[in-house]
Amino acid sequence: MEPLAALIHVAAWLLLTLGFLAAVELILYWFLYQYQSQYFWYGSAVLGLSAGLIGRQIGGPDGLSVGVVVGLALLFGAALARYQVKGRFAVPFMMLAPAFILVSLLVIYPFFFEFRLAFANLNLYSISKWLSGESLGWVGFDNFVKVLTTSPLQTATFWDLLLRTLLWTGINLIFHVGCGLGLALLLNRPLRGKAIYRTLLILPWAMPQVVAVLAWRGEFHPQFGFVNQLLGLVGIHNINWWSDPVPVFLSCCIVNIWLGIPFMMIVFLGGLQAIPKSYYEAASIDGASKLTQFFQITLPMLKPVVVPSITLGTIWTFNNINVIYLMTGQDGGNEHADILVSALYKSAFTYSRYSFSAAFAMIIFAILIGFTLFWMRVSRGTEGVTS
Amino acid sequence: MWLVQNAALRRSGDRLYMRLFSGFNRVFFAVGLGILSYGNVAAAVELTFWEHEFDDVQKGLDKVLKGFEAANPGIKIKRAHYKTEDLRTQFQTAAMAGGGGDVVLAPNDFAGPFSIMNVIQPVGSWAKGERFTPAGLAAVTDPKGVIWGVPVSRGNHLMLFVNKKLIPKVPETVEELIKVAGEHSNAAKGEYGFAYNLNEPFWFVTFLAAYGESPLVKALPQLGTKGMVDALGLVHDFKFKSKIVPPDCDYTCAETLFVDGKVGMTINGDWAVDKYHQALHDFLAIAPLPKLAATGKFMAPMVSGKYLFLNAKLKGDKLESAKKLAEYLVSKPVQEQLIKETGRLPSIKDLDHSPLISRDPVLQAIDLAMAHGQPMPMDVEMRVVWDAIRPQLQAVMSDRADPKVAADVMQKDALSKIKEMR
Amino acid sequence: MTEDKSSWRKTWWVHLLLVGGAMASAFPLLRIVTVSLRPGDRLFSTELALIPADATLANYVEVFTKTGFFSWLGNSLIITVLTSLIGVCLASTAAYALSRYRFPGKSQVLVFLMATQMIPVVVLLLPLYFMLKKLSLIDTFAGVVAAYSVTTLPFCVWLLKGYFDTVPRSLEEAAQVDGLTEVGSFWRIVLPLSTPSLAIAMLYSITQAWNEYIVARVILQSSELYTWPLGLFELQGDFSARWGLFAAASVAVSIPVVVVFLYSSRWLLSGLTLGGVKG
Repeated sequence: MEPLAALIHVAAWLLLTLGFLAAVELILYWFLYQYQSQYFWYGSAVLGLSAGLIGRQIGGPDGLSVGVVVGLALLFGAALARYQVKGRFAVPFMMLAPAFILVSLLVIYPFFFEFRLAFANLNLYSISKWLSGESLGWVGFDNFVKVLTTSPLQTATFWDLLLRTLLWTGINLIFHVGCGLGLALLLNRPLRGKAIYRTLLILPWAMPQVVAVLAWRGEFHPQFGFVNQLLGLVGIHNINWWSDPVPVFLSCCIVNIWLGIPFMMIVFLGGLQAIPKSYYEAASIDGASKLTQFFQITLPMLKPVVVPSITLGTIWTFNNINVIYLMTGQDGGNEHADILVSALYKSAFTYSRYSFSAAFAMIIFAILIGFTLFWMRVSRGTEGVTS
Repeated sequence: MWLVQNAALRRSGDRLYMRLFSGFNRVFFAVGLGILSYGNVAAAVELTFWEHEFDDVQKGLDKVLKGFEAANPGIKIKRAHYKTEDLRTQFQTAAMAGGGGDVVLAPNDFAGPFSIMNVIQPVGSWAKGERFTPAGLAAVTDPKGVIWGVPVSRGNHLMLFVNKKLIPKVPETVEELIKVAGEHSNAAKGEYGFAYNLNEPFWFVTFLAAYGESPLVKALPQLGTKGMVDALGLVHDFKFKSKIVPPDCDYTCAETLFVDGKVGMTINGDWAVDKYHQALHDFLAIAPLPKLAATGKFMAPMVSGKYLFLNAKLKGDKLESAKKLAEYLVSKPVQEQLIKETGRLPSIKDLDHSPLISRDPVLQAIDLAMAHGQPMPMDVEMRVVWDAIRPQLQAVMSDRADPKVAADVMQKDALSKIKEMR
Repeated sequence: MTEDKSSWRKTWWVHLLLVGGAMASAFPLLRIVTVSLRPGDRLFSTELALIPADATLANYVEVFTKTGFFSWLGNSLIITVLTSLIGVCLASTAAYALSRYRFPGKSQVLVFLMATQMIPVVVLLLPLYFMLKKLSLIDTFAGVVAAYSVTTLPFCVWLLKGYFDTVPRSLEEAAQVDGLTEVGSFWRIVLPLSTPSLAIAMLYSITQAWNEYIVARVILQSSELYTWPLGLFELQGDFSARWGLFAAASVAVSIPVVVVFLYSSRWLLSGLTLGGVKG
């Protein structure tokens, strides 16, 4: 019976979500299309009040303040719609709203919670005080200073980890994009057995990551693993992939590259498919060589697809904890392959240094968002190609 | 998504269409709201039971728990399994939100951090500590004398396993072990006489004890000692001088080699007994870890066991049910059942000399192997000590660090990490 | 004739490279199959054969009959289907808005969506748990689907936006002259032409939801609700694991995903009209 009850719960949640999204759309509809109606302010007041009541209901002990905030926000939105927006962006706002609101609701609270934690001192010894109702203190920027100066692990400092993370991201990205693009180009032509190739090449992505990484870990086993046996055939012996610093890092890189290529390949393949053949035909008629065609047609037309994928790929690789965690034997294990995130995880969960890890996370976030803003400006990746 | 894009259809002038779907949306919303406010129906008292046991132990536990439910109608036990590390991290996350398993069966180091966080509750007031084996009880008693868990089984310790087909006589001293293993080792051909989890501190500290040292004394790490240097030198020589161990052996590697009959001796814990027994049958010999003739001291495994911890949030009915469960698990007949079902040694003194143990050669051997053990400290600092030893041990075993230097680094590390935890 | 020969040689090279790539992709997974066919729980062996001498299907039988395998699969299926449907539906409309319109806050929204990916999930686990607990979504499918949707949406939006950008506006403009509404042109023109990107978004959501362990571990606590990664790790105990079962279950779990990928390949071919309108 349990699965049935679970299914009912899912159906209920689904209905609730749809209803919630419908409510959001209704509110937007009211603001953006009825802003000139004589009932506008009455309607908005009703909406604000009901949203406030619901907020109060869901908000638990802080219910009243949550309700007030939600209600006021809605009234502010009404005013904004009437006096500023005036229904100008109705369609895009309404199409964007569901996704945007869902994401922000589930992300905003955790983010601000972590932000608050970073300035407090929540660790093993202060948890019991916090749980019994005392508020978190304020220690200013202490945690941030600690992150940047002390070592979260045994010997690696923040700067070592940062360097290693940049190296990790760079190496992975070059191979992901390079091999992915290469394979996509190879597959983007009439070929016998294309479907088989595509299926086989996509296996690393389709395979559950945990299983694949554990399999690779086994392959790198210094004694029984395939890698060392293969290397032994060419005369290289005794590389200890599991404990020596550089081999550990290399093995993680190899595994992550293997894991990430299929995804990039598929993204590029899809992008290549979208380029009309007529462009290439026209170019050959004009006498352009294959290489010129590649740089003048293929790359620019791939840009809107490629730039976000590379950006997101960079962010994911930067923050990829799974591969390193599983490859270095999970908890404890080695620290030579650790990048920023895995050190973060260890400090949070192994030593319960929650505030330290919150500050750590904030710093990582700042690095990444700085990079993204810079990269976006340089590549102007938010613009389309056929504007 | 066309359902919720209805408002955008206004431009097409289709008012009826739009009104119809506004109506639908309102209905959905109301239904959803109704479901949201639907409350829970409370049933009999339900206790969630978290554990991290191996497959066959889970089955044994289930039988015991069913027996409890039969004897106590009105109490239901819901067992949830976790991986070892997950048990700790999940409990921590959940407990901080006021949740977490109601009772947890875990090794003693579970008590360390959670006693400080106060998310588990002391049991000394009702658990009657006198009836438990002292060593087992000591492992969940903090320096202030507060008892944090109810011992359910004792053990969880390392011992020596010997394949009598390859090595007929069980060595009694470490020197003898090295000699015998050497006779079976031929590094050029890749044959070795001895294999164990080389880089894990839990295994390493048994050698440390043979030099009279303990890694954590009164919550202070003692890692920079001469004993540590000697112990590091000893294990380093296993690999590089006498070459009796495969160059890079971890837990699975040692187990594979031993089970496949390629290696004559290994060090592993009581959790592996069943598997080895199935593989080697009567050729399996279990012995206490040998003595180091040079110092006259025995290698000492860390002894703890499995304990039942109670969540701090338990009150009233649930607390009473949990207490009943604890009493049930440590009652004599159930302890005997546990011995049979899980192959673990009992925690109560009453069964110290039970025929169930003395007549079973395997259990008897496990019991003997515990004799020279040292209780594992429950202090949270122990975790720091493990993490401090591990990288340096690895470095020494890869010939990247000198034992003296490694020992000093370990000690400094441990001290700084302990300070940072506050 | 030289043209024929050189293109034949080129095709040969292409095939060679692809075969090499395919072998590199598939090899570690074949080793898992080997472990699953070995009796007992021997993860490693000193033998190298792909199909061991004493190969047996006992592990598979045990996985299918003695563990909750099908329940795990069913749970994973429900969660995956829901996550991918919600993800792709919500993302497609949002991506269309971001692709075709200019409105205040557009680039901020884009950066915001990307920024949600920048915070390591492990850090968000604790507050996420608190929040879901308050909403009574812990130990429910709904909570898991909610958490997954959040992580898959941003990428899907970005991906789809990129593909929508490549669909020429002239097509839509022509249709709108003929009386199609904006939403109509989204539904009838842009979407059908973007089937490759929709397929990729769907596949991405599916792989994310199907294979995810950490978040599911935190949210789901009853064994009846376990997804297959959680179920699989039930086979891991103190220090060792039932490697044979583990491998057999892994192989069994990968098959549905591979089948989905195979089936999806026809969607990955573009439907872009050629010669529709000269841009």
